[in-house]
Amino acid sequence: MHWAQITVTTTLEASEAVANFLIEMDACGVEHKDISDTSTSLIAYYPLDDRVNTRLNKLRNFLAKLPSWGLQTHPTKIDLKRIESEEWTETWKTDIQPQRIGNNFLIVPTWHKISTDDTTVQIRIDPGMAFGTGYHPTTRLSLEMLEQTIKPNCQIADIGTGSGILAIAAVKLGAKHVDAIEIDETAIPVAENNFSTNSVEGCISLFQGDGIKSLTGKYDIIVGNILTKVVIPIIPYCPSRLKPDGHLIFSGILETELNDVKEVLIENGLECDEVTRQVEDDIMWIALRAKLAKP
Amino acid sequence: MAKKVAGEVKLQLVSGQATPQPPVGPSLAPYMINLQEFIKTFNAQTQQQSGMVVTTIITCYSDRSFTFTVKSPPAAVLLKSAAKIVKGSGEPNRNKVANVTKDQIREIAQTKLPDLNTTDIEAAIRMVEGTARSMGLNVT
Repeated sequence: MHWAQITVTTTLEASEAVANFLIEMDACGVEHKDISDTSTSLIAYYPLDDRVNTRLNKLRNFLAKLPSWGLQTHPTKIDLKRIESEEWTETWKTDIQPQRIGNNFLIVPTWHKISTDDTTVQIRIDPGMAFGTGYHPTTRLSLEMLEQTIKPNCQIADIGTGSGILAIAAVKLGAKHVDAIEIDETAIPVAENNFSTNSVEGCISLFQGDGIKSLTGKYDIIVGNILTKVVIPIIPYCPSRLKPDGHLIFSGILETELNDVKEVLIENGLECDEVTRQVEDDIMWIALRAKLAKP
Repeated sequence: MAKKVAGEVKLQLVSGQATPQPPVGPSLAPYMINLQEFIKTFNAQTQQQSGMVVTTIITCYSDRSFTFTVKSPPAAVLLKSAAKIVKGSGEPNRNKVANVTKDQIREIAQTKLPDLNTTDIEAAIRMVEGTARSMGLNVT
């Protein structure tokens, strides 16, 4: 099947009237693409058949009448494009390949059949409605630093767990238990599903809550792949939640924010002992590790 | 979560009835997000309003995760509800299908104001009033 993509570029003032007209001509929906503060493109699709010209004529007549109804339409134009039908539910998967991170991790979408050697730690995860798919530098940096820091049977807190990828990684590397916290309610079922897919749900407690304030335990590692504006306010709570030889791992920090984070660490009796970096789209992302400063 | 936005897609869709077909498939394809998950969640979240056109904004992140919000229905839908009609007129200049009052227009403009690129209520009223006339509604 082929589709006729009709794009109407018009004023924002006329956009609601035009979108309604496109839907009343049996479009299944309309995409709005704002071009400026005053103009927008409205994109609708119809089966590419002999009704396309009739629809276009109706649309032209409708647009010509808009000023008589008090709607400013200048400038307005119509574009027509032929679109090939695709298996849209499958095409998004095409370039998602298993990816190796650090020395041991292999992040694998659930639809991939893959066999690996015994030393590889497989994490089965699909991109979805929660951050932490392995396709962002901050997730990769967090996984690498977790891999270097973790010890068997340790207790871990994962702040802002998102998809749960770091909590899953921690259990697969030998953590005894992970407390995973997430503020976003839409991410909670995603994380639960990922814990179950990776058979680690028995070792993870998942809470919906606001950062480290929700926790009462002591941890060997507190990890958070979260933005600096979220990291800084939780640092003062960290020393009382860390075991004496424990570590903090924070990712999601920009190079330009690193000194601010280090200052807050020092103010709270912590010291940074490792920094790693990865660039994507000219943005330098940082992960840092910190521990309690020696008196 | 250290999210970086790759793009936002604004769609008017029939609640509870999204499918991978256009506009959903081709609009979201460039961001390579999990289309099935969006469709499943959108339909579940909007099934109570089933059949009503709603506006949704899908935020796509660079790691191919996404979130979406459902906004107030388009002005035309609110006008149809206020005028108690299912469809606008096919010939709006000649066949008037119902009436809406100036007060109803103002109320709809107030509802839509947060979603429009303006804080100017008079501009919002102009837009809603023009939309009403384009549907064959008398503004009284």
